[in-house]
Amino acid sequence: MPLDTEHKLLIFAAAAAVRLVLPAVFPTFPDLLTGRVEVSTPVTSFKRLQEGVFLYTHNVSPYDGGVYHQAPLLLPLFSLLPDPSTYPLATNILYTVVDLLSANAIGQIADSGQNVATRLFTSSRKHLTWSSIAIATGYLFNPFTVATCLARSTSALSNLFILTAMAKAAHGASTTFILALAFAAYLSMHPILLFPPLLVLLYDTRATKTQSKPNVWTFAIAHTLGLAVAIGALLSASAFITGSWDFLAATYGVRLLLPDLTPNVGLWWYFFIEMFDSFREFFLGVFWLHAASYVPGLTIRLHKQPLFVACTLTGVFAIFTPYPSIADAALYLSLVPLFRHLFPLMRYSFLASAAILYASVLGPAFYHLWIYAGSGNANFFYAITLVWSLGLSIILGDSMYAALRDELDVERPELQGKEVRRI
Amino acid sequence: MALLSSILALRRHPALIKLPPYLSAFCIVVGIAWLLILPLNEYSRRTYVSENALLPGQVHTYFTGSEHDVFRAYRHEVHALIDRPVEERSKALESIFLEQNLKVSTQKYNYTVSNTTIASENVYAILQGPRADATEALVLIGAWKNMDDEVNNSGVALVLTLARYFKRWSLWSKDIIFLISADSTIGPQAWVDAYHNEHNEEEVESLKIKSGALQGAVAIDYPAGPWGHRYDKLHIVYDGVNGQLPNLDLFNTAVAIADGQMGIQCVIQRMFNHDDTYKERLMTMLRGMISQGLGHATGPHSSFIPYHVDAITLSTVGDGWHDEMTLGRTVESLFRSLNNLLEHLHQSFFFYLLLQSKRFVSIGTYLPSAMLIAVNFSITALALWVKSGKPAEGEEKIASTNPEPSKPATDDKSNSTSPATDTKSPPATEIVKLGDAVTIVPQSSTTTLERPLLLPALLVLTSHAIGLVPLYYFNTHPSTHLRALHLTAANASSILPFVFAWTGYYAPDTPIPTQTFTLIQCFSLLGLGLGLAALATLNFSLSIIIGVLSAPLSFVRRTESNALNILQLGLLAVLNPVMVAQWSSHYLGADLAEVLRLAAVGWRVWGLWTQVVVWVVWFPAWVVGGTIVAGGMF
Amino acid sequence: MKFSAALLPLLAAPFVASEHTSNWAVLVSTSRFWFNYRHLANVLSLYRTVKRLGIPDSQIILMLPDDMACNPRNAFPGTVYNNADRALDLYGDNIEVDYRGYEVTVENFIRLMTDRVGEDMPRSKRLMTDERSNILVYMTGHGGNEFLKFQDAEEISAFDLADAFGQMWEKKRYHEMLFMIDTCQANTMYSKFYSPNILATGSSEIDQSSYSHHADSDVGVAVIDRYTYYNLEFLEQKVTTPTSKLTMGELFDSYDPAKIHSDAGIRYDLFEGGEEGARNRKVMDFFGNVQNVELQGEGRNETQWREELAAIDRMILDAKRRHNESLNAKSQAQHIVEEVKPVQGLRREGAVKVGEEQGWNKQVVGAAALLGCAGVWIAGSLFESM
Repeated sequence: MPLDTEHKLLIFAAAAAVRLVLPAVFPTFPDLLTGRVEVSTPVTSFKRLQEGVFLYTHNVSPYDGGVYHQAPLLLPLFSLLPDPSTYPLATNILYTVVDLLSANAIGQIADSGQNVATRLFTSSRKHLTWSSIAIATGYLFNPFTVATCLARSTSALSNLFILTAMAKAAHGASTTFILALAFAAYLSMHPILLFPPLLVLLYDTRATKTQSKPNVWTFAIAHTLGLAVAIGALLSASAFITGSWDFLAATYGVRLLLPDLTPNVGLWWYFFIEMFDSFREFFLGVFWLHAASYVPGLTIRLHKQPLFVACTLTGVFAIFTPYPSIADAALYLSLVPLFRHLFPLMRYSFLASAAILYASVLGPAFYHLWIYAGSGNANFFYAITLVWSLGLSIILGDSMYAALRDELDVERPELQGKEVRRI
Repeated sequence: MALLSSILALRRHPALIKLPPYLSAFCIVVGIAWLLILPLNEYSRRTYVSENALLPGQVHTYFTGSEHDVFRAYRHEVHALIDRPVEERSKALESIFLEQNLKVSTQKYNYTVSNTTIASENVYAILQGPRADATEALVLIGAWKNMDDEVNNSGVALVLTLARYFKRWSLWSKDIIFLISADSTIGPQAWVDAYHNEHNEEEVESLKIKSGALQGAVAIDYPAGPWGHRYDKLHIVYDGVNGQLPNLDLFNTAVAIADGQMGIQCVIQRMFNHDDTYKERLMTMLRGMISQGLGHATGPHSSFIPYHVDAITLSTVGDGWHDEMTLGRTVESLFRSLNNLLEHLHQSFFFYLLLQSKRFVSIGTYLPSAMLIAVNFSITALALWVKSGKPAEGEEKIASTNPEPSKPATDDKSNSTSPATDTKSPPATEIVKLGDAVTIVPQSSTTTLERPLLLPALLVLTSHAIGLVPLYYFNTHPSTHLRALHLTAANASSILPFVFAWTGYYAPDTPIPTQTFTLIQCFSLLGLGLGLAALATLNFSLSIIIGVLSAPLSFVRRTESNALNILQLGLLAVLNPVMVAQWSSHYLGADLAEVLRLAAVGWRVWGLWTQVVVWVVWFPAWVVGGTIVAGGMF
Repeated sequence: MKFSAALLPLLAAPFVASEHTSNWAVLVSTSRFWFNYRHLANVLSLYRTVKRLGIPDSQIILMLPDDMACNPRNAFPGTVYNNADRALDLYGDNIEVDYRGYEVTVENFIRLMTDRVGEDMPRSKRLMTDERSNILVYMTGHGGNEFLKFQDAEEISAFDLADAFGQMWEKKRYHEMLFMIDTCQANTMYSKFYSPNILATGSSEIDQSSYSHHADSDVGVAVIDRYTYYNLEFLEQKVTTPTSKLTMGELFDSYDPAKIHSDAGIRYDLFEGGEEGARNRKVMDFFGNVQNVELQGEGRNETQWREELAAIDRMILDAKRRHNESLNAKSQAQHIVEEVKPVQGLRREGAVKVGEEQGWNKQVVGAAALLGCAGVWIAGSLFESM
């Protein structure tokens, strides 16, 4: 174990060094990233956060002016830090710590073993895994994660709490799980959809730990109530800090109703720019319903592998939420290696990786043509975000196929290695 | 779903595995052939002005008569300033503009490139449109020195005369800025950077007076001396920095006015005697592509284009019968057209290749050629990926081809593979049923090996990072030593593949498996294909030039035959980016040291990223290709 | 008596069909921007002609989406010309533009035609026609197959136009109408009309462009379209006096495709009397003004008339009194409001001074909230580890 710890320290130190040295060597780089639409969305942008902090410290409601759409509790946190334009180090350290904690959490998830063997299901390929350090390294050195960290997008914080919630659920820690999920949901709303699969995961781990099955209904109700109380407390604290409940409309309202159509890597903005106003509400409903419908479907169909469901849902968020950024994709892509045992069953990995690679190179190029060179137009960029989403959804679909296939292999061993076809 | 699985099954087909090299070669051949047919009438189009507002040549021009005397006077005044120091010159130009009741200002700049200081001063004046709202402006540029380092005597005098003349009109809907830049490429860059607040204040002085958003810029290059010179044709220069081009409408308007209204023939890309044959058209196109691919500034207008300000330079060539007043009237008419604009030029093309002044090829027609060449790398990468998943031993040991009854398969269209638990002896075999033909084949040809990806990926990334080293040195080295640096780079880069191959062979305890090399080449080519595809959308010409020059990288392989290795290495040595710089500048008649100096200027002043592409995309791919081949030597 | 009442409409019918009591003109240019100078010149030329022939400004609705006279690009500020000889300044000093700039929209046009306007719409912006009014509708701009663009932003389709005219007929808003349009593929614009008594003519057939006549090289733009130019030529040179007896047929016969460079079209079938009836209409029936007065009813005597006058006087007095009363009442009401106002209090009105009031208080509260969160987290972890 000491060797492992040493490795871990080394890697974490290297990751921290990358995050602290890059902005020191290229001082304009973080600001460049902060301005990129791929990294900073209206609901996570650091620039807007600074605007909010300014208004907050000047005794104006941070939500006046419609620029700031993030959670109120971020304001006291960042107003306690020194001004990032003069002393960027403090902010950078904060974000680096956040990333390291996230990596730690992802390592804990891998350590729990819930990715290959749950209470009800054990994969036939359970020995095919990567170590927790390797997976944490994957997260820390994922270029998308690094870019998110340097851009100081607040989705880094949401990612931390999502990963922590998963880790806590995978280790059967109820209280902290509820707190972490409450924070995640409080910061970016959609993680609340992770509650059902993670609750199943928590139930499984608790049942294995205590060797007795708690009553399902009491368990579910107790945790739901706990979550409600935690979120309620956070919201009340926010209302106390900002002095009114206005923030609800400015934060969650914006996430729900998409009033800010700044381009991003997702699918919504272009669609809602083109849409006639009269259909807006209807399609908002349809889009949200579509995004949310994965939760019950996957949770029921793959209830034996709740961690896989939760991870897949992060992928769904990276594609189908109104304001996705590469931070969401970074989270999903870093969680995929947890399911190393499914890789042999996946069929389009090269295609999907190539699509994502192409999209990440061509995306900025087309954005440049559109915005700066003036020789392209919005369709160029949107086409590339479609490719990006296509790449992610290929991984998503392929991994789901692999997970189902994996279950089938255990249920009906005689079918192992055979091609399947849906009839 | 069924379709997908049959496609998946198809990818194991032996013929398909042999296909990629031919497919790659086919892509390259078609890509180049595509380019060669572009000059034909069937694939190119006549130019046309698509912006309604421009109305080229629809106005009478009145720049004649007494203006001629004014011009002659200014020409002498300018001539008298030629040998004066910069400050005095600026003062004199300032006072001329002041006499014309224009707002005047100057701007100093001071760059240090390759240990050489480039310092001078721009003078500019703003004519405020009498009934305009000062939100938009046009720029008329007369660089003090033109691209050939001649003093632009008549050009500057013409700008001064036009300033005086324009001031008397009341119909300007935009402000007009008259810029006398100190030279043709650096001065305008400093000015336009400062105009958009993108300058470094230590090097470039901020502008004291400004106007609205720039809508267009026209530069005049007319280096005739104090006694004038009658010219034959107008040479229209339109390439911007980094290969960006102005909107085709601006070019077309200039041609329509010069040729249609004034009767001055227009030529492009230094093809001064264009007789519109296929060969001339092709030459014009290729010259245009090389100029675009290099991405250097080709005149005072070049610096404006990256800021999305459409700009061209009109320069006079030859001996003929057109005089300065015709040029002045051309500019007058052009400005009247630009004055009509209601919004930024956007109707026409931003991506085009010109074959002559009235024929062009649009992006939709020519882009496939670059894309095909970029795709060839991706195809090879895909093939190498598939290959890397195959075990190394031979595939020729097929046991039987007789049909024999086999266990029932659920589906007889797709290959049903089983883990072959019943085979006893090595090599492991399995039963493959295709239609009603059943074969037992070695398992090796259907299973996929695990691919360790980390090491190859890291090595490829490292090779790309190495490219930053020469990039740094070439841009910071003193200009006097650039030649020596180039020689060093040529030697070092030629040896580099051998060093890498040697290290890979001797350094590790266990030799690196062939699979790793295959994967390295796969990733490298994937990266090259990706980079070139993205580049093709930004700078088509650079992408296709690099694509063609690195095409052999798709085909080089590690072989056991030394003769073949030497042949491959010889080819690669010629196509080494460093060597390409050497022989291409020789072939194009340019001085290598000057090219390198300009490249450094480009990096520091113009924001040129051709070198980044060369060192970070092309060079690493070449090194990897070389290393793969050199590996066969050990 | 009954008999005569039943007979009256029959007797009146032929009379009504051939006579109208007022003339209106709706002149619309639909395009803005400097390079569309000619469209505004077209409309202004027509405006000038109908005014010369007697239609007063109050009965002309002029829609101009842009102001060429004051465009900074205009080399002759304050003027608009329709000919390169610049003999006649169309802008002159007596132009009454009723709809200008961004008021020229499809909606406003249709509202104008069908009179679906708000109560506060000034009279100058209303088409106050009745079933005895002849209307000249002239439109010019950029169009295509069955549509006409308005200001590059929207378009009116041939169906919209036909429906608007259909509604006008049902609302008895016109007696006869001459619809003229000068745009590309103009004839398609009147192909969908279905309401009676419309005589329509356009500059070009489907898939034909309408061309400009000539450009003024000093103004720098084309100044008039061909179709309008030759219409004007006829109207200006032949129809010299309001008493002109020239017929529409003669006007239509003057259209020469060789000169206009497109095939001008005429639609007679909706008109009462068909082609013949339409061709025999006088040009002045649409382009000039009539002063026909029709006396309504008979048998009224002078006393009756005086009594009515007295009744009106009384009504006016009554109205004045009521108005004065309401004035008094209003001032009282204002008093009350003023008293109430300070009670209501102003929330966030006026500019707030934004000073950095960092205030330890706020920082402490924020820090406390964050610490609270952290505390809850630690407590939770401790609770779990127990």
